[in-house]
Amino acid sequence: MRNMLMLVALVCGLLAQSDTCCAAETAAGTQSASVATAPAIQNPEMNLQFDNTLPANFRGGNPDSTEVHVLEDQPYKRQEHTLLYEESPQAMGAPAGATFEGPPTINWTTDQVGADGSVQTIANDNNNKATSESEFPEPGQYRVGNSGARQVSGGGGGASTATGSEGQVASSNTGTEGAAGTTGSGADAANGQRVTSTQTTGVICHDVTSPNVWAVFQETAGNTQSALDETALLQKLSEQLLAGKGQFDPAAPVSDALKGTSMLAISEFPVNKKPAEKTAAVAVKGPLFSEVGKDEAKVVGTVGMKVLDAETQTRLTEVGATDTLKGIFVRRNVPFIVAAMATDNGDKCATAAGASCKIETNDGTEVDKDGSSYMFRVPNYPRAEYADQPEYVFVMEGADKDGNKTVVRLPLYVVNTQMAVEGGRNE
Amino acid sequence: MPKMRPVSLILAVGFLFSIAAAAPAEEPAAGAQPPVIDTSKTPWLEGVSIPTQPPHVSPLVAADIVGEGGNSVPATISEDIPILLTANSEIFGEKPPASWNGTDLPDAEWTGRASVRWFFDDVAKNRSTLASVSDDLPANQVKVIPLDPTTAGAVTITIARPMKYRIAPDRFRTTFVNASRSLSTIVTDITPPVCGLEITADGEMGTVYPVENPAHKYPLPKLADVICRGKLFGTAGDDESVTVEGIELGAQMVVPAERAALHLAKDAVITIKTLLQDNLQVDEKTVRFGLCEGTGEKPALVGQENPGELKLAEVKLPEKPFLFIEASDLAGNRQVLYISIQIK
Repeated sequence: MRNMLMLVALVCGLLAQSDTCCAAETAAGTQSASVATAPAIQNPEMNLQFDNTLPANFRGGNPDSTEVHVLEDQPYKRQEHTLLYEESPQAMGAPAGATFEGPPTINWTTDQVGADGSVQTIANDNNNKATSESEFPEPGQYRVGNSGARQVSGGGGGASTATGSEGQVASSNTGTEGAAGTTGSGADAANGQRVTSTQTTGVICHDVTSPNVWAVFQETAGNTQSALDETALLQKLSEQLLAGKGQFDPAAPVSDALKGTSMLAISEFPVNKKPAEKTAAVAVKGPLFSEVGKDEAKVVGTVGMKVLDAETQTRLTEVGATDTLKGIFVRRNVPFIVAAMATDNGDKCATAAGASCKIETNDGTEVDKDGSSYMFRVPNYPRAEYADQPEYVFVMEGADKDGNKTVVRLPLYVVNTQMAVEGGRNE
Repeated sequence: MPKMRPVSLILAVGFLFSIAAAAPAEEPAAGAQPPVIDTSKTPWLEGVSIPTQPPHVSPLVAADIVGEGGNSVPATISEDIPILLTANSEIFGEKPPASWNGTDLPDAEWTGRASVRWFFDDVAKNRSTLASVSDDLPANQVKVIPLDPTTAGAVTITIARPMKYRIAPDRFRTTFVNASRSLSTIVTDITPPVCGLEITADGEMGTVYPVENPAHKYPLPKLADVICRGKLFGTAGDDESVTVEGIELGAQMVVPAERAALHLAKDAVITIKTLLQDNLQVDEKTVRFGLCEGTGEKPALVGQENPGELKLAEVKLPEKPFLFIEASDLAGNRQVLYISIQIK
């Protein structure tokens, strides 16, 4: 089939050449007149390509689509080419003697396509170059457009509304395969014609950022605030999470409803680093992260996001005990509830979803709640003193729709009740 | 070259198309060779290694730009005045093209809305500005305010819309249809220059200059704040900074003496430098400055025109002395700024 198309193209080329010869013969001796009334130069096609993009079927992509797949925050080089950028305009069908009046004006435009199909131009780079490098800071659907415009003198042209067969697809008038374009015309004959060329590529930008996950612990006794139930606690946590767009500042005040609680937050920080350099900050606020019950508000460290699956390029943030975050310290005989939520950059952290959280023993057995809350009656910390008591692990996990995950596994210690109120030492 | 007879050509083409018609739509062969680029002649192509033809079907359709009421876009439009532009193209139609470059595009359908981008190009500076769209208008219309005057410019639109077409009984290929158009149009300058003076006397300095505020105000008149700074504006030799707001930008900009004045000794030797600025270009042939009497429409010059140095002891000071600067831009917009002199 391909060979036959080439043959068709060859014959079409011969036909066009034959026509050109005939036209040249009949127009002999009237060149100046024909230049003055020459038809407008057709806008040439443009080729626009990305370097090093992902396979067309990446994460279930349609291999028959011309869209390209990229990772968020990863720089990609782009290049484009069109006859409009050549040294002379004759390859576009301009008459002999026509010249470009100057360099092309080149714009690189990025549109974002919303979930509702709306299209919004979010960036334009007028770099006047046929190459560009950029990255996409948010996952989603984009369109990258390149456009060139260039003045041709002596190339004919007519009134601004003289578009010829408007509404019809123009076809090649050069006989050269692929040199087709649309009928265009200049703004005015005196200034020649301003020829344009444009191309657009659809871009699917994939999420490779682990979700932001927050947990809030609320003790339901010994608290000056009226205690919330788990549903209300989730709601208040959600409000706090969305207000900060997933970013947790331990020094910032929390809402009145969350005062007196303890919060653990894992958030992408700094945001929009390259995929291989992505990290998450681990921050705590409240008294449950200190073995002596000290009320703390600080970032205790950062964790690199690892590749979870090389083929799908998903990321995993794993948080465990460190020197600066040894675990969660709850008081014996004090009931508490815990709730967790997650936001994702996939929707610019505009919504919050539930994240799973539970307490397990070291062998993976889930600890049951005592009614609607957790309560531990026997201390297990310091471990040397309570070696016979089980070890507990607080497990929290959030995942986004693309499979990026954040997993927290922190030791949960039960300390003597008097510790927090008497302070300074364990009894 | 020997010519083929048209009849035999038609027969040959008809035969080939009769075979091709039975086959499903298929991507054309890429066929194009990598480009040979001489970056000394086309430096914007540095780093480009791809041919000019896209490797896949991507139809181009016609587009045109018209102004209000379907009229032609004027050859000149004014800065700061909104203009309604409309793009006409089949890219806004019900169906995408059914074929392109000899390839049938069966069951072609749009798969999304059009991306529409409007630009104002300053051809002389080879600079392009994406027009912001504020009003809620149909996709093919835009109400834009040209903000920067040009000596050679253009309004350009590019449009892209995604489509799909069948390539097999259960497979569709998606691609983009593109359209673009550029019309030469000049954006005329209606804003006077904003020129000022830098004055030095006895080792002390004062500067006075206007700043258009609000920017791009329309309808006329344009307004400006006049900034007066430096020790020469202080009564006791202190640094002074006065902003006189709401002065009409134009041919009679008088800073009220009670708001700001140059305080000079009667025998001061002053040097004057001009601070020239315009949103397009000051016509330097029109620049005049110096000492004058009063604040008429045309400065009544006292002494030398455009003095680099002015010795007050050597001129007969008028009853109401002022320093002035007068300048016009290339479009003929004229500005005259007066600042009062008070002898210490």
